Amino acid sequence: MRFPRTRGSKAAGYIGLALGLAIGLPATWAGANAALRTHIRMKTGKVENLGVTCFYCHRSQDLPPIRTVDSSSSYLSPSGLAVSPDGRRLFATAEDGDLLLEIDLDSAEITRRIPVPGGPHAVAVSSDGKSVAVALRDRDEVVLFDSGSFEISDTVAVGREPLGLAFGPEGRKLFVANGGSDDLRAKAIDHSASDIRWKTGTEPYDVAISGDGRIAAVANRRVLLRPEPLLPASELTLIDLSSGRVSDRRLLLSAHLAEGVALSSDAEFALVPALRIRNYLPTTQVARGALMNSTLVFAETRAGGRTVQFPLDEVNAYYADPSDVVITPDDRLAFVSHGGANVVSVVDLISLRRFVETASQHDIDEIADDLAAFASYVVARIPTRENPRALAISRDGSQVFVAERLADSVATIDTASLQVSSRIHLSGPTEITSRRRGERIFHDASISFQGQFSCRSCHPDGHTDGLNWDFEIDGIGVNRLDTRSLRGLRGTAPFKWNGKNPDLATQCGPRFARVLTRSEPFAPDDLRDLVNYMESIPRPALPAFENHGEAIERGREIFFRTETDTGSAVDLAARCDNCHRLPTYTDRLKADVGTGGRFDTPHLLDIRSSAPYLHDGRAMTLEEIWTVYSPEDTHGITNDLTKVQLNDLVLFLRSL
Amino acid sequence: MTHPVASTTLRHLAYLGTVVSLVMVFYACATPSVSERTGSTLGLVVTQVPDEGPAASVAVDPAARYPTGSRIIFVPSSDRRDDYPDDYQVLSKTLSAAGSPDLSPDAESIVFTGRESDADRWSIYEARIWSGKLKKIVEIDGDCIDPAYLAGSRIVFSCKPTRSAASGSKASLDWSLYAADVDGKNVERISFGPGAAFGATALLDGRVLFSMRQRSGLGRPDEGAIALFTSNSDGTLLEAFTGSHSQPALKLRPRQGDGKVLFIGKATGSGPAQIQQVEMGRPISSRIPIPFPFTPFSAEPLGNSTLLIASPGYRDGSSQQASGVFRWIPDESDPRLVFHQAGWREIGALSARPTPTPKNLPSSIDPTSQDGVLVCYDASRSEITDHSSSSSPRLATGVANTGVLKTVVLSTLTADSKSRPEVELGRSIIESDGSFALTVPADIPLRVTTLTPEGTELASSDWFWVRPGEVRACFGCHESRERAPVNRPIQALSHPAQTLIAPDEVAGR
Amino acid sequence: MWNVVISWVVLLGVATASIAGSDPFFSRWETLNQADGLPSDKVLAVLATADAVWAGTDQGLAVVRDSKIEVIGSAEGLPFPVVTALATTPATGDLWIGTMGGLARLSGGRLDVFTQLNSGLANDVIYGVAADDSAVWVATASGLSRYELATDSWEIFDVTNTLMHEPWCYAVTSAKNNVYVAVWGGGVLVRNGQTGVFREHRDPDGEMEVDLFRDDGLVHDVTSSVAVSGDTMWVGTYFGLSRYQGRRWASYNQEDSGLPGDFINYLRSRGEEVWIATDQGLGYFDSRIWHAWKILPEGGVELRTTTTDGEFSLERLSSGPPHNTIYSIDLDRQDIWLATAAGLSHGIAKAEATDKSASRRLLDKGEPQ
Repeated sequence: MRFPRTRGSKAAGYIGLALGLAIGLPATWAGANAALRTHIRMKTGKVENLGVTCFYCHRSQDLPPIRTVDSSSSYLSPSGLAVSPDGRRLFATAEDGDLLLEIDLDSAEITRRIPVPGGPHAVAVSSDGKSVAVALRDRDEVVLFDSGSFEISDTVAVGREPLGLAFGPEGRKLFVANGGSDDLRAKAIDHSASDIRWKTGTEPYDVAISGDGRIAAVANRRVLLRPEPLLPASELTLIDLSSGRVSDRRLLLSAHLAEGVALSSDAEFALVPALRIRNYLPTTQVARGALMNSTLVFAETRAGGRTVQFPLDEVNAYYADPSDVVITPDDRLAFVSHGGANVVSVVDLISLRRFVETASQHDIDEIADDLAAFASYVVARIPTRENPRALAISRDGSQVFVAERLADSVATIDTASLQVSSRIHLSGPTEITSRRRGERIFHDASISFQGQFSCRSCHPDGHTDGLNWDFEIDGIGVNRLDTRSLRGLRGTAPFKWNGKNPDLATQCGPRFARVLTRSEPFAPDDLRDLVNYMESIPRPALPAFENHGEAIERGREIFFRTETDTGSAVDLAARCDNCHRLPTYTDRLKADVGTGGRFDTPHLLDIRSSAPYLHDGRAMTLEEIWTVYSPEDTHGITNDLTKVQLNDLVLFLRSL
Repeated sequence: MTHPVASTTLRHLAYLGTVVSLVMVFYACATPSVSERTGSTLGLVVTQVPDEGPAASVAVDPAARYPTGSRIIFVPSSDRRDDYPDDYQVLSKTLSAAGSPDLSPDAESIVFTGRESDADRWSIYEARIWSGKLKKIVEIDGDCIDPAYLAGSRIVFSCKPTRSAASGSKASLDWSLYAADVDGKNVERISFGPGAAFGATALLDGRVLFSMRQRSGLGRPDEGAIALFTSNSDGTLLEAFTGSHSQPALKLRPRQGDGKVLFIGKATGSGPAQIQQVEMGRPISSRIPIPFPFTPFSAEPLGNSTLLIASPGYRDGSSQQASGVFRWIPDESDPRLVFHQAGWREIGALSARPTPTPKNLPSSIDPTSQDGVLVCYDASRSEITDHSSSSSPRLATGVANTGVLKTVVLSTLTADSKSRPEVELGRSIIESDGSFALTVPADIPLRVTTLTPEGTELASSDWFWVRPGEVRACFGCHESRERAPVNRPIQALSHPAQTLIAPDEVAGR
Repeated sequence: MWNVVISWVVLLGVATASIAGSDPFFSRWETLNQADGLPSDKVLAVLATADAVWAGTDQGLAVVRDSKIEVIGSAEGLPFPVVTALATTPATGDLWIGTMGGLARLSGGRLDVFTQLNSGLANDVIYGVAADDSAVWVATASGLSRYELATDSWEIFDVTNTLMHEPWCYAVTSAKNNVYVAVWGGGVLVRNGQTGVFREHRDPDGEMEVDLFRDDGLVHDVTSSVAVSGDTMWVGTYFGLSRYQGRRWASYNQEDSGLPGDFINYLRSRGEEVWIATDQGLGYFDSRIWHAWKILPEGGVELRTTTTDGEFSLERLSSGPPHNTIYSIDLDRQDIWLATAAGLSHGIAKAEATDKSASRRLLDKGEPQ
């Protein structure tokens, strides 16, 4: 039977189609939405994060493997220098190139290139010139070479991440500052005595031993963990080697990132270059040192001696990222490298000593912030190539050698003329890659107003300064935020604690210039190079927790557990691995963990060394995240854990 | 065999050639030239006044600085003559008076102030130095002077609007700084002080350095004196540069170079002009006069301690001075005349050479806001060192705590009254740590006065302003501009800032 | 008959000695108390180091150095004022301070605080601390904690993962790479440093009221202190003293030995000697002779000497410890320092007094701090 097709029926068909679409499409949308919500709820336990695309979780491609160290670099990046006692040879460690270089100073030629895998950072020569020691940052070892044959005479285990190295005056002891384990170790070269391990400040970076072997001075890079409102402070650790006791721990108030230390010939004072910071003040401006300035710490080593911070900057010009320091043998001049300004400052120590001897405490307090004071003691600014860091001085004091880290060169400064007299090129690659350019930009303070700071000033070695800063953009006095580490951040977008920046280019874009650097935004090419570098910042080598393997495994089980100790199910949203999701240990979404808002879930790689924790750094230790700041189980379910289990969980986290 | 006519013609041509050659030689000897190269100098941009015309003077008033007949010329360096057939080119050729040129960083053009006749207003012009192409780029109902290039294809200049233009607006009746695109678009006022602001130049760090007349209103000795200030190119972050209390009273034409800033200073309005120098590293405590033997009208640092100085050669006492453009290394050599043109007196000189482009600072202005925030970290800190009496470096500094303060009073000036009386906008408690925070109206003159618990006026700031959305921080009251703030938590930030609102009659609101 | 005569002779000797008695070790005793600058008279722990004497009181830590007393209390960063235990890392001299509210490390003037909230410490209530160059052992009210210095990592040994039967660890000491823990109500646990395995020493008779079989093992499970020297382990309990040498145990009580009291707070051993802090005076034993210093109710100090042969003597001393309740002991060459309920007591050796007889200098100068 056929029905006649009429105009009316056709119209009805259209109406029906329209009705069907009107009802069906919303229904389909609602159904899909419900299915999507269910899917997300099932998989993440969250519904508030709708809005992300499927690719957010189901990545179109796998993340590249997370590198622990940057072994692919062909650049040299000289990071340590030492001069032989006869002044004829210079030894340089190429940290990125895994090399120890021997340079003949008469011919300015590289005479040996000895492969030393493991991130050779510091180098030292014994006083008799027979032994050369190299600290391997990524292997937690020091390698000893015979300086004649360059055969390895010994390899000794030290603390974690050895960064500073010095021989005792007799050459029988080696002192190693271990940045990853916060200690200084004295090792007997002939193994005749046990190691002595002194607790230092946070991240000891350099050590100096007095000529009589009586005093060790250790410069520590990061601030001590001190709850607010105490002023942030790093430490100059002074050790009386005759008694074996830490004789003093000088607090360098509002100063940190010390990478060098030098003792005067009579060991009566120590010099430490550092950054003086003003992180309690909102970042309303950068001018007039409102965020930070370079300073040279002068510390009398005697008991009760004075500690004075002498600014190295000027009212309208800053010499960012002071790094290393050497003193001439006559104790008249000090040379300070400024990694962010490509300058070496020369300081008249006679003026400093006179001030320290005569100044009132009021004067000492005030000079630390006086940006015009430099005129009384800075006698020269010597330009260098990119990123001058490590310094060494010849025994007769006639030459200062400067490791131009990102130029793969070593400059020689004539201490009489105070000019660069020659430059030794270490034969690094001539082509400068995008990543290398980015690395240079990262360490270059010209990105900020008057060159006051570089990216590195808050992210030393791509890590974190461990400080809270108050960015004025979200309201002054509001939201002091903890600096986040940049190590291993590839694949962890979005960025910022509020998760607003979808990528690093946005994070470092024009708004960044307006809020922080207060200077010209990055040019597009520079921004691309910078992002390339930041995405390649490696995480350090994984720590070895000997004797704790079982505890770490127990901690791992707790991290991935789905049931509490009492057998009840842990809600999906409350599981550790739900937010801190493999492989980077972040789901890249925001979460409310009971700290006053929803914040971007940080990744957990290298978390052991990025204290303090939580968005405002309120937790001084990993334990406090749960013992103090999650009393109602707002940050995962942990209240059922015994203290033993919590320790296991913390050990697991520290092993990441 | 040569035709007689042709022979005669050739002879005449030879004579003519000889004469022309001799004339050219004579002319070459008699006409101006840049006698030597200065680095990559392309030439000189020289401001001149006619020898017989009215004398120029070092003053704020453009008519006094650039009298009728004043002009700007470009004199190429000798090695560029092949590219440029003329010995010099007048860049202000259609104008009755011109001066105050500033060279673009690429050294291709200048902006300057000029007017077409004595009856016209002073305006801002741009000229290409090689082609001489000239155009007026700013049209404002009023006088505009002292232009300077900024980064980002912008310029800064000073304008004094006519009374009719100022009426009912925020415009000041005195010289104020403005910024605009180089094509004259997007004109924006960026200074809001009660005293005249002029003579701006761009610092390499992106800030604007300019002169501003003090108007303390406290009967202080510096009332009416002119000091150097800086601000960002959007007018935010106003800061005293050389210190507001130091002599000399008149400061003009600041120029950065060699790690220093040079300017022309006069102790009194009628006194002789001097070259003054401050170090960028410590501008307040390093000011010294540079004893140039003639009367300087402009001084520009060329690098390597060398100065380029223009002197009109006016009488100074009984001695007749030389006029011209001089190259001089203080303490090392006598001034060397590098340019002078007969019949003219040189009152300004620039070396035409590419220079680094200043940083293009991002603006922090919130165009949707009418307020800014003023945060004082410690009103009880006060600088007690008298920098005006010492130019030597110091180690011991003088900062004192003035004791307990109770109240801060915020004042502004009314706009229309001639006497512009000061009116109080409101008061706020000073926290026990000396801090206070106020939300204050933007783009009007502001001044804070601190009172002791007994109500005694203790200290008063210079006039300043905040731009919309700006958060302005003061480290102390009368604190040294060479001092960084002390790192400590501020009580005033533990609660919202007190809001003070300007009444409608204030400052054109 | 002769017995009677001998008894009378002994009694006469005692009477004579009580008039002109002499201390076998110490020329005199001195006491520092609150009047001298201590934060409190109640001294709970004492430690003599190379250049100072540290006294933990119930109101903070005092250091006696260079004729001065400095106080480190809550204001200086101490986690809790009641200081119960002190130890030093031998190689570096870092001082470890156990309190009733957490552990602190004092090094170069810097105090680092470890609590159950900010670290892996088992519990804030600390009764004992021991340190060697690689680790710090902390006896707490919830088990034993080990802080590994090289890795900043913590480990807890308690009822969940060891033989420990009760959580209250009252004392800990380390010797020969082993660790000895006095567990209140749980005897003594010994951790073998090589294997990490714990071994338990308990009272075999399990009786809480009496020691049924003498020398069968630990005298009682309620242990309060353990000291090790050589191959000898001394265990102090609230019911007497035990000695363990290899497989042989010996028990000592007030009734059958020269022990001044059965309630033992602390033990300190050196070689063959053991010094015993009780609530009834100071004791000494060297396997042959007992000495007991005790304040008499009527005043004055009595020294009772007893030999294992059954001989004894009583002497009245001109000076002695200020209180019979002694909480802790440290030996400094031939001097002795006591933490007592009435101040910090210093027994100055008869031979040459130590250089840092700060108490004497303080007292001689009459300079109360």
